[in-house]
Amino acid sequence: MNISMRYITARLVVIVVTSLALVSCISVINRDPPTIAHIHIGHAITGWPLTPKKQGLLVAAELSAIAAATTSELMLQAARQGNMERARKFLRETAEIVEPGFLDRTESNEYGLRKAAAEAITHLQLASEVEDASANVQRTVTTTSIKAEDLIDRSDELLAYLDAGSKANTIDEMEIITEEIVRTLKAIAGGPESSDSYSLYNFRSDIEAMVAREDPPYETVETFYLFNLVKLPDGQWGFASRSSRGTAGVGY
Amino acid sequence: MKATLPKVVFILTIALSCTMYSGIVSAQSVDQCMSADTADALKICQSLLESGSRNADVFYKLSSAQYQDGQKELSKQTLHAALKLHPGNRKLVALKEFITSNTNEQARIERSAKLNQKSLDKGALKITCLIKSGEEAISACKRRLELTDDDGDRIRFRLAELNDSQVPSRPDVPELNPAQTPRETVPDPVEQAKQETPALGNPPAPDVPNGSDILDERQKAHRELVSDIQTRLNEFGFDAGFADGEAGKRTRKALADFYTAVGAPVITSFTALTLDNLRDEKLKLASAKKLLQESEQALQQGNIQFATQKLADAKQTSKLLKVPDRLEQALFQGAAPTQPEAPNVDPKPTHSPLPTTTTDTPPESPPQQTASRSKEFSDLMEEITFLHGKIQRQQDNQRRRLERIRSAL
Repeated sequence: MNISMRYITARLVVIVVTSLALVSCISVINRDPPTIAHIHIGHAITGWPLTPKKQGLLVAAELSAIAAATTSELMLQAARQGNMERARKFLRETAEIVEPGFLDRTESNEYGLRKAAAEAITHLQLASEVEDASANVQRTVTTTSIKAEDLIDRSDELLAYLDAGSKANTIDEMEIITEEIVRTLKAIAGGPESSDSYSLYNFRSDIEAMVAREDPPYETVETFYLFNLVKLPDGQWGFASRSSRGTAGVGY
Repeated sequence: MKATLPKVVFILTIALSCTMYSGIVSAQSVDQCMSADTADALKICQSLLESGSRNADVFYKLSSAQYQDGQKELSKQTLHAALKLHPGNRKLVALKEFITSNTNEQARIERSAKLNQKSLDKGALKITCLIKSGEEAISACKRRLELTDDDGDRIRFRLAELNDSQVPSRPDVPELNPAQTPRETVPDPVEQAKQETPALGNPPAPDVPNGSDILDERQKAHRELVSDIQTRLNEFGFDAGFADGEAGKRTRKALADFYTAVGAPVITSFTALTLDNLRDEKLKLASAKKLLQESEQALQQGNIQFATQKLADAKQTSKLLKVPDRLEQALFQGAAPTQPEAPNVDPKPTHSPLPTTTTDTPPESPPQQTASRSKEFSDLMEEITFLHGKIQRQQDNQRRRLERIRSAL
């Protein structure tokens, strides 16, 4: 009796587990793909195949801003101590974080603060222009991207300061330039207490607020959709197959 | 003859059927290829082409599928082969244009990565304005102001400073005769001041001014500015050393400490703006001291809430304000100080108008440390005052209940 009961119980468990697994598989397969607008938003906040660790473009920009601000503080410290060599070293490091290859005048495909922030804005603009973009996305991106363009302008100004710093002749010049660099980087990174100008912090807050207002709700976009979005010859957006041999999403 | 005819008819029928069948199969395969998704299209269309199909649509579909699958080079090769067979096919030509040229999106992304020369120029102009001297700096400041008003106040101050140094505006400074000393040849007084220069005891000005007189005056003006800044910094309790007019490391550090203490961006260049900031802070500190006095008076009258409010206002008005411990302790205890002390503000502000307002604090204590300690203490005090009130209310309630019980008994 005991043996047959155990046998039945075991079979029941197997059946239940199998059916649960099947149901979950079916629900995964049947899940609707995200909208193209949400995928473009995902490129900004979740993942993009070319950034370091395939982070979202805005995430890459934020991390670069923090790293650059920290390095520039060290540069300022060195300049105030009168250590020109050390100040120059940190200046080069800051420049590499902001725009790789800028001081050496070399082309680089790496993502620095400036490039990541600029592309994050472009991807949001693409999100607002596709057919399935909600009115919320269209409205928010229109106003946000204008403000965010100011960030890019200030990043370019920052590069001019870095260039001037690399050519500074005296430690006094270096100190004045370094102060400008530190101030600008802090303004770009921003934070809850800084309200002088539009910062990456404000940019993220605006995007998060927009995403929270989405109806149907925005869900974090799966990597497959993020990295395999392609523009088809007929002008529509599609996805490369799951067995894709390349990274179809790169540059669309 | 009769016997062979049925055989021929039979063979022809079979051959016709085979041809028709293969045609149907081929048409079906083309349809399958055209309607397949990317992964299936790669297989079906490829096998069709391998079996000898020359259909342009099949080529188009395969090339599109390869492109969509990320095999861009293979897609181009397929298209190349297709265009050899169908040179004028519009659909294939359009696909080739699409694949070989950047898409709008790709082009936009690439464009956004390009640096904006106008913004780079704005940055370069600002730096030239701030660190260079003479006409070069003046021109840079002006051009920067034409392009943007970002940080405009600072640029305008710098421009005014540069203009002042170009043409001395003080009444006792003789005008420069342009014919004698061209403006472009006059070195910058800031740079001059940094160099080792003879003492400022200038000989009496000659009737006809020359370049060295002008330089001396400008140098003197800059030294006076730096000296004024040093004096004010020392008054605030930031050690700028002896007010000798030399913009050395000690003075810069004191200035940086001052800006940090007041919570403003640190700028260690010596301009008229620096002096203005110091003057503004002095006024703020004076207002804060007035509020502090009102707080003390309110405390002596027993109005703790008003005293606390005034103290908070005073702290907000100037971060350099030194709040005496006895006042905070008194507010903390919720009673007026037992020993009335002399007013917190120095009665002789011309001698020592600044944070050395209390006798119990050494004058050399850094104001920012004291400010943060005061803030922490004030927060604690507010919390304790709140709790104190709560306890008092509870005690009152208990007392009333006790009285009610007694009267009932």
